[in-house]
Amino acid sequence: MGGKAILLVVIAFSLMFSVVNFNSSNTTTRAVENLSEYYSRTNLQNIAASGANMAANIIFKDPTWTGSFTKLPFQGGYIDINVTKFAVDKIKITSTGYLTGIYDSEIKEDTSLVKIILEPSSFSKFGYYTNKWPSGGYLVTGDTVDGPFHTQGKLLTLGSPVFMGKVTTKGGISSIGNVYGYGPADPEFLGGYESPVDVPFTLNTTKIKDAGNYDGKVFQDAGGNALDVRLVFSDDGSSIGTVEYSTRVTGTSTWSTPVTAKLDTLAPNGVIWNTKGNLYLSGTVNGKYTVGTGKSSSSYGYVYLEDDIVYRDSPLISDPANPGYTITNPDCADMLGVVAEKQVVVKDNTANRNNINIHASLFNYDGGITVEGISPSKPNMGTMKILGGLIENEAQTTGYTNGAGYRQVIKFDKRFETTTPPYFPATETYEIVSWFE
Amino acid sequence: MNTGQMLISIAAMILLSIVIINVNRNSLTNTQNMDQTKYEILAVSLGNAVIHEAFSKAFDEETANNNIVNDEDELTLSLGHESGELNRKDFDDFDDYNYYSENTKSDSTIISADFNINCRVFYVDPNVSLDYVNNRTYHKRIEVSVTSPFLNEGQDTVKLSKINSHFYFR
Repeated sequence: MGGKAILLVVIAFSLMFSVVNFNSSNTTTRAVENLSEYYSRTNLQNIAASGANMAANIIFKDPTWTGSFTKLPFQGGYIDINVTKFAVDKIKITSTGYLTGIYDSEIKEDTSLVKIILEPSSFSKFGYYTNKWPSGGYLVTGDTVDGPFHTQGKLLTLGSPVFMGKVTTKGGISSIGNVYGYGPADPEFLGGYESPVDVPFTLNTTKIKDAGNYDGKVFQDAGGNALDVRLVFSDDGSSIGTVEYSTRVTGTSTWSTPVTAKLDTLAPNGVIWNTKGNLYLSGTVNGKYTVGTGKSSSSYGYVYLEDDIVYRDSPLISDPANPGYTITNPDCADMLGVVAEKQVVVKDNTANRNNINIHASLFNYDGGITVEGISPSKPNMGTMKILGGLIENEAQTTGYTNGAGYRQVIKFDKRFETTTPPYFPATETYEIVSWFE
Repeated sequence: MNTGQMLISIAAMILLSIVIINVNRNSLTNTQNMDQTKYEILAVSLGNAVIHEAFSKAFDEETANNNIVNDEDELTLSLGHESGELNRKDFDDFDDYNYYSENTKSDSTIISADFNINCRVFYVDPNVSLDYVNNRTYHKRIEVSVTSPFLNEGQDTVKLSKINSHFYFR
């Protein structure tokens, strides 16, 4: 009896040890499988990312390139690369890595995908862009530049001006101090500084005109004359507002009878373009639009601001957490881009002689924003408040230290960091807007 | 206890001994495998960390100051770190990691096995070979090998590789 009992006890122990042994082996097997899977997936990820890097270089060298590479052998696997264009000027790069390994406890071939979207970089992302920097022009202590800043020239600072966004220059920077009472040379770059960075100043009016012809509105005189177009935006309480437009041949004095049109039928894609002539602008904008005018000679291409041009909802509201400071208004869905192939000019009229509010990103291809007939003998016109951005070829005068003209304040609309007015001029280079892997 | 019972008891003890010896041997093997697995995962992570670090640097010494190179012949001919860049923290471009090697013994943050990390960097060309080419191109491949006496008695090598290319979008 005693022998049988011992045998039973031993068998029981053996079974118990067997279970322990099995579990232990199983745990080890799973650990090894996890290692193999981690290794395989790391390699697979590297394979796909390598293909994406190579494709990005090809696009960098030749932005017009589309095509594919198939079955490029790498790291025991292979890569498929495909580059396609879609929408307007957007590029999609897909790189797929293939590698046989252990995945989900099975030996099989798996894939990893890297997808990159590139699109032309819009000038509206700058709070202030100036192609040329005047040789004697300094930003001085007390000056504040809001939003991203770029110049193709050399930035000159005196004392300690403050830059709220990232600053980039092509020509570098020259900082001086301890003269004219401006204190030591200590410009404050709160968003960082980088140089040399080349962002060529370009304007392709064909693209914006094509967009206007496709699903927007293009003004063009049938006789080939330059045309003046007057646009008065209006918020009629609907989700999309209206615009009242009239025209005249440039150089004549009689405007056509104004026509009021719903913007969603006049320009569904938001582009209103005058092929050759000038644009007269004012009103309350309800929606997202880019308006502008081209030129065929140095005489045209002006956008004249006849009064305030503002959004239905202010893009800024008071910050409840920091009284006295403002934040982006989440309810503001309005956005405006103004494109002048020559420059933007504030009309010297009664409406503008007591401040002017401009809610827009202003693009001046052959100059900068200025005031009609500005001179040191002009009266004080108050404050020119630009809430958006200013892109210009070269800074122009908007006021004098004796008080003539305007005191200018430019506040960057942070929404332009991620959103642009429709078909707003873009740089000739691409930027990566999405990198998925 | 009669003779029969005695024999059964002896047989049972022998069986139990065999089971215990097997379990013990398997336990040791499993522990060793588990440790090795842990070290190999660490080796993969170390290798990938070096790759990520190299990718955070400029593509080439000629592009280290945000310069854009428009001709492949402007790129570095001899891959490797420049004079004065003696330590890894001094490296400023991708190919500085060519022939870089390191042993983690002195790294107090790695308290388990010690690893040997060796890097090579090659020019590659998607139209010719992704292994290496002898001419300068806009593509460089880094290969990181990690070994350790604790990885299958020094027999195993963890190898990772990735291609970096010169591009600049903004």
